[in-house]
Amino acid sequence: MSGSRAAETGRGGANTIRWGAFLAPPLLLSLALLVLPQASFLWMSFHEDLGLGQSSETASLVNYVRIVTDPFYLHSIWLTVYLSAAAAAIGLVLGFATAYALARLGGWRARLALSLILTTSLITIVIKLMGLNLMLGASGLVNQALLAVGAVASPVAFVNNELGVLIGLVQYTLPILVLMLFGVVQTIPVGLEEAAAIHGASRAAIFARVILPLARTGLIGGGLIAFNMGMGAFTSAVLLGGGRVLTMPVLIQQKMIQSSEYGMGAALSTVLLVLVFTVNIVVATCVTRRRGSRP
Amino acid sequence: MSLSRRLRRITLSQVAAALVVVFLLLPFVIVMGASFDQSGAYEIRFPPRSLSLEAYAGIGKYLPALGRSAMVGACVAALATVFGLMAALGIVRSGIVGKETLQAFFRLSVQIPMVVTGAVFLQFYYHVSAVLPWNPMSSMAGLVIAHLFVAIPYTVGAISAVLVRIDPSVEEAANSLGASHWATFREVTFPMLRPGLVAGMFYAFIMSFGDVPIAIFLVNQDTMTLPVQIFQDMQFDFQRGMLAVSTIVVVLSLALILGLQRYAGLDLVSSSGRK
Amino acid sequence: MSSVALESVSKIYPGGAAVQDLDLEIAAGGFVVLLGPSGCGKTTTLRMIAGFVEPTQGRVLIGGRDVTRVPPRHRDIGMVFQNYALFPNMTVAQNIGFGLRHRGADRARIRRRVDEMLELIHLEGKGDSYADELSGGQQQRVALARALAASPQLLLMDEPLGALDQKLRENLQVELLRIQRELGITTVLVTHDQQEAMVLADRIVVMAGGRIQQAGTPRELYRRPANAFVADFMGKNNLMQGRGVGAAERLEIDLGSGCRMPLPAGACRGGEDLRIGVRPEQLDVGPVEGACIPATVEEARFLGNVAHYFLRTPWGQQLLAERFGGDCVYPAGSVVGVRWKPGDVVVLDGAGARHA
Repeated sequence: MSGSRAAETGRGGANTIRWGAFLAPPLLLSLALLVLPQASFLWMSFHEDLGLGQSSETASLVNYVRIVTDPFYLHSIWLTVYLSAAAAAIGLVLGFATAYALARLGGWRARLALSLILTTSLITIVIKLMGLNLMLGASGLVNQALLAVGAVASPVAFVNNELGVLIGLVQYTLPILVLMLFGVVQTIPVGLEEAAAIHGASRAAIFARVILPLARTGLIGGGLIAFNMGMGAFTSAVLLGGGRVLTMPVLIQQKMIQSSEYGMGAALSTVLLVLVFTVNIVVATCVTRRRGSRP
Repeated sequence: MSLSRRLRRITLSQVAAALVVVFLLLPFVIVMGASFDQSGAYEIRFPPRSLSLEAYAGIGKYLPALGRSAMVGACVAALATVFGLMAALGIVRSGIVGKETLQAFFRLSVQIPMVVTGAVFLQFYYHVSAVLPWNPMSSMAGLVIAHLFVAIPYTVGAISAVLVRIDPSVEEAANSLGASHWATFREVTFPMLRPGLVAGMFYAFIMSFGDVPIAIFLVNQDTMTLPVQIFQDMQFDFQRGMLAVSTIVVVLSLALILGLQRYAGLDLVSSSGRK
Repeated sequence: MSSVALESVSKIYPGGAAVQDLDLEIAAGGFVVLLGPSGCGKTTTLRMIAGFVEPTQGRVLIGGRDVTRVPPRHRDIGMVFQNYALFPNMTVAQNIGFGLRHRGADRARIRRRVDEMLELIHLEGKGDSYADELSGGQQQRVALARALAASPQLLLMDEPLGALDQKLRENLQVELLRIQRELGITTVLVTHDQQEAMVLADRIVVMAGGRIQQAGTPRELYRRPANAFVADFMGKNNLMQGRGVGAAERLEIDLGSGCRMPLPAGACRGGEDLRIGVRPEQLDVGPVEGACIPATVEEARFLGNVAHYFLRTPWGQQLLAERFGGDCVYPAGSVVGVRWKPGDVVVLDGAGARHA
């Protein structure tokens, strides 16, 4: 019906506005800002650093070779991927539970909770990390509580290590995950769960057989976004890692600002980008292939 | 219902949800609480032992940075909204082919890790300063442009979402009644676009104001922004004034969000769809 | 008031022609309805008159003036849309006064006119309400008032009552008719609802496939449809195929299975394949005797003021007979004789064109 109506009601009488023209300036600007900087950056990555911010005149793959052979860089890549994946996984579990509870709660309470959660992601991240540092530090709230209860003998190191960065990454990605998964759960009709319950399914069974399969694509999509965010996370890694957790974003900043190794910094950035895009493409193709192979 | 029955009805997911909300809110509560604490040495205690506004005496150091961040944020918000509006109008309204590709293109810059964007622009500005008489590094304009790159997807997305739902008949009605294209846009289309414009501007501002990974590459002591200042001080020079200025930022942010929600129709939940 | 004329107008899209070589004349002050199914080109035609669509070929004239290249806002028209298209950020009064404001009228005159319009549509006192505070029917009346406020030469309506429920539609149809009569404004309305067309139109233009199938008064279209399409579109019709037999005064149609029924004089030359149409209310249902079609009653429904009989003919076709009175005299399963008067038959040949 709507198709034929679309055919009937064409637009374009005398003196219509050429909307396409409006597209030009932003398109050109975005293209310029995307292509030009990236191009020179990429070029940079193929030149060796000679120290003191100088780079060699000849193009070479020496930076890239170093990245893939030096265990220092390899460890950094591994660390970044592993932390991002772990944070994504934890975020999915916590986020989905929260989203589910809120979606089924519904009403103004759910909206309020969502607004609050979202608001925490809108306030600049350094403040959140400041609070986390205070909360998880040696004399912070968590350790105070644990000591008071007698669960531990001395303060546990929650920050200035990989654990701290992991916690920070989870904090960073949770709000977005909760929001996305909230939408996903809302598409699963409560009626389905009720029907399963009437047929005698336990809560665990309902979860595994009804809810999870329907939320699958949303979970994968959300997990991917969380992973991407983690791969690019810089501020959390520095402030909660105590300068010891050298993920790729941290390394990149160090190379560019502190040691002026622009070539290496550029190469690391390129590797990070390629890694992120590759993971995304691989997951996307796996998902579509699985879906395609289903009868 | 008795208490024990109530407790039994609480599910695992509800417990998780409560913990998550607390976990997300707690850091802010701690910062704000600690800012009112009186203390001698470097100890930051929460809950605060005694109340005092001592920390607030130290905010002077941060005020210039705060002002700069606000200004950059405002510029980015304004420019991103203008460009975003033009792009949205072009994509949604013109009969152009490849709308999906264009929309995907405008989402691209957000998908690049901000660290990389920062590094890339640093490099780029270095080259630009070698070629042109202008040095964008360590300048407000340079930072605005870099932020603009990442902010445009937010505005294009937010405005497109609203624009798509506007029935073209409304504009045709205005035309048939004698209004020129500009008058129609001004009196009919623009007011209807307002929620999208507000949302887009809001997200662009928030992104720019709170940014660390891009700004850290592009600012120096003279053009310091607030988040970067706090970032550096947290690592090297912890001061109580930080807690105070953070509390102020939290309060202002909340006020901004509440104000926009009530008076400008900002709907957080539905407008922050996906990145 | 202005007349409207379309001369050899076509609108061709890459996907096909929406309107083909259309010639149409609308007299000043007349109420013309463009009627047809979805995709027939009626809305495109209306939008070409309005100026939102530019014809690929042909000319559009309003009041004798060639407006083909003139944008809508200079055509002095008022337009009403299916989903009202009221400005959500303005009050009812501001909506209605919009046209006058953009033609430079002064405040006082706008106020007066808005009040007049509110009275015309019986919504006095609603001037300060916003569109979303009104019901569908009220919104449509406001849309109408808005279109008429600046006293345009031409009123164009695109399925204006399509979004309303049946009772409301009927009430608004009467309102529409009253207002049009009172103002005497040339009106072109597009609808797919044949009933609506019959109620409102001085002249109905039936369209299909981008062309005019037939144009005429409701009576002409109903009694003397030009082809099978119009015959079936305007109300219900029983279309039957057969072969003409006999000659001159005693023409009959052989419908198969030994059924021969009378045709009007001069209906055909005899010996050719024919298609005929007989309206349900023209089928007489009675005992099986004389020249009739013996049919089995499949269903008999009581519809209040009429009774509907669904009849199965010997050659397997289903016919609908409508009898006054409501009560179903013949129950399902009984066999009845179906008769008609020769003069009630409309002859359409195999291709559906008009004969008699």
